[in-house]
This record gives sequence, structure tokens and C-alpha cells, in this order.
Amino acid sequence: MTSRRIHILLALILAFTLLAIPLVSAHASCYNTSCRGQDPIDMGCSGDAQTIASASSPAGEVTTYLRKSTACNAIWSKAVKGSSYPGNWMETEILECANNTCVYTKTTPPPNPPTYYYYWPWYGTQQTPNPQQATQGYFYGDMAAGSVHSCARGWVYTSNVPNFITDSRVYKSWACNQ
Amino acid sequence: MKSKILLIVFAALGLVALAVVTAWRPFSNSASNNNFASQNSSSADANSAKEKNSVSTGSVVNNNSANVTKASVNGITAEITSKIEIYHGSPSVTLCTDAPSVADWLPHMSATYNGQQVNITGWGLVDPDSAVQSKHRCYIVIFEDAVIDPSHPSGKLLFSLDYFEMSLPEILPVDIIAKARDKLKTSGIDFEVQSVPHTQGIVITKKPGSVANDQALQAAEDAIAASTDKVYGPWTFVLNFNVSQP
Repeated sequence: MTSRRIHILLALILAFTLLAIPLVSAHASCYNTSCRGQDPIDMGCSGDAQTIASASSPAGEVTTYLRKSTACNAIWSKAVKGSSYPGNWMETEILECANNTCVYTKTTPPPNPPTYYYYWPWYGTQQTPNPQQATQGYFYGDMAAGSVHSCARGWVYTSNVPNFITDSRVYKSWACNQ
Repeated sequence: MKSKILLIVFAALGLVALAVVTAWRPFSNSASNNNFASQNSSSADANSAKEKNSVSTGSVVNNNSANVTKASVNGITAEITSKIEIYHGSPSVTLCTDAPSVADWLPHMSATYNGQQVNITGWGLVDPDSAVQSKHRCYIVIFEDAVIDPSHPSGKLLFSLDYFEMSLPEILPVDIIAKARDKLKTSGIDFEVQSVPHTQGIVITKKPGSVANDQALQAAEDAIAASTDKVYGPWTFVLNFNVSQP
């Protein structure tokens, strides 16, 4: 009888443990300020993401989305390049705002949501030897705290020289959460 | 005795598991509420955002009785619930509607003013924390500043919510990629998606010799865009107004 009880209890413990593990792993790895500077996918925040604001440059060269995860209470920017613009350089970032002043997050204390630069067709932060003309593309930035007034911004322009804008046409749009 | 010990162990494990699960859940709420969206096409910097944000709000442009502010198509009703207002320096209206579901549907809109096309520079969800939990959503829709021209203080704004489109998540869903590849079969183009930090890259794996790589990439992007779910309207509104002089 005792042996049977032990088996039942062991089975219950095992079942409860198996039940508890997915409950924990289904949640994100950061919340609000602890998400700042983190990748939304790496932190498990992208699963419930919704677009809370959007803005486009006049001819749709770039559209910026402000994305928010409720589970993480964190926001990030996502920039999408329009198909009609042949620019090969894209950038997106979160600006944190207070008292009507928005500042680049790279000037704020670490960990900073960095600005990401990409050449078409997507080589991460690496410059392509011979950048091709862009057709369309997207990328997203790192997160900022959802409780902070922030603006997402996306850029698209043409450059044939690393780190220099070689075309005067710079298009950008931004979207804010307040 | 052994049973009592096991019961205690079980109870302790249960409490620990419960504590872990509870601690993982978020505690506080976002402070964000009404949002706005704006844009700029110049090579301005963060000061532009500051400037845009510092413009006072509250000026109101009066509507009149000839307006059409409510429309129902395909079982979905959309309604303009505000007057045309100057919001952060730009003309705006508030549009409320039931989205097709609680998923991340993006509204696509267009407008003309006195017969000329005007840009809709952005939109933002009203009370986003609540809105994303519900089908019922209100958007502040922002028009380009030129909508209100002081030299033409009267005007007719035709505004249309053209369709809803399911947004593409940060990682492209497998079914969307499969649909897009299927759409391209007849053109002889095939592609695969590679994950790179902060985006996904399309690599053309097959194309006719007569098609340039850029063209193939564009075709792949177009096919992906065409593979998203859409719910079409249009829900059309007519707004006649006169600018209130300060």
C-alpha cells in the first residue's frame, strides 16, 4: 500500500513538474526596463507583438512601425523599405523622449538600444563589397522600456561609401507611443 | 513516515513551482496611452522629433452636416468619431472600427482633398494597451500638413479605409513563405529565407537566365506581401470642413 502511494506521489510530482516547465518557458525573459537594449526575438518578446503606431515618408520610401509586446511591456522599431525606392542603406532606432525632447538612445546610459545599419541584401552589420540596388527590405531594432515615451524611426538612403551618405535624398519616418 | 515526507516534498515542490510561475509574470502596466505618428522626409535629426512634439494641440476644424462619418462593409463598421483636429501640428481624425480579429491587423488608408491625393503620414492606436486586447480599435490618423491650406480654408476630404492587412512578424511564418514560393512557381523563381541578426534575408536559389537577381528579389518580396491575409473594404468617408481661425 505504501509503495502504491509512493508511486502515485512520484507520478504527481513528475506531472506537476512537466506542467510547470512550459508555463515558465512560455513567458518572456525580460520585462519593461530590463528589456532595454535586448533583441525582441532573443528575449521571447516578439510572439505577442502588435503594431501600435506607424508612419510613412511621403512617397512610401520607408515605413516605420512601433511594435509592442504586452508580455514584456517593451517596444521596438521596425523599418520597411518601399519597393519603389532604390536606396541601399537602412537604419532604425528608438529615440527616448522626455519633456518634448527626444534623444538618440545611443547617447543614453547603457545598455543602449543600438542603431543597426544594413546594406542590401542583408549582411548584418557587415558591409557588402558591392552593394546592390535595394528592392525592398525590413529590419528591427533592439527594445526600449514600454513605460517610456519613445519614438521609433526608420531611415532609408543611398550610399556607395561606407559610413557616408552619397545621395542627398534621405527619407525617414517615425512613430511614437504617446 | 515515508508517505508524510513525500507529501511534504510534494507540497514544497508545488509551492516553489507556483512561486516561479508567479514571479515570471509582469507586474506593472505601461504608462503609454494616446500615441501619434508623424513623418519627415528631410535629413533632420532628433531635433525634428523634438520640434514636432512641441507643437501645441487643440485647434479644431469644424465639420458640417454633409459629412459621411460611418460606413459598413463586409460586416465591419468603421466610424469617424472626432472632428478634424490639429494634433501635434498636423490635421488628424479619430477612426474607430472592429478589426477582423484581435490579431495585428494594419489599416491601409488613402485620402483626397478637393480632388487631389493627400498623404496619410501615419496612425497610432488610441489607448494601445487596451486596444491590442480587443477587436475594437480606435486610430488617430494623421494627414500631411498640406491638407489644411490657409489660402483655401474650405475643403472636402474624401477619406477611405481601404483594407486591413495582417502584419508580418519579425520572423516570417513558414506558411507565408510556402505561399509565396508557390506563387512564384510559374515564373521559375524560387528562394529561401536566411536568418541574420535583426532581419531575415531572401536568397534567390533559382531563376530564369533572363531575370536579373534584383528583379527576382523584388518578385519574391512582392509574393511575400501578396501572401498575407487581407480584409477589403473600402470604408469611405466624406468630411467637409472650414478652418477655424485662431
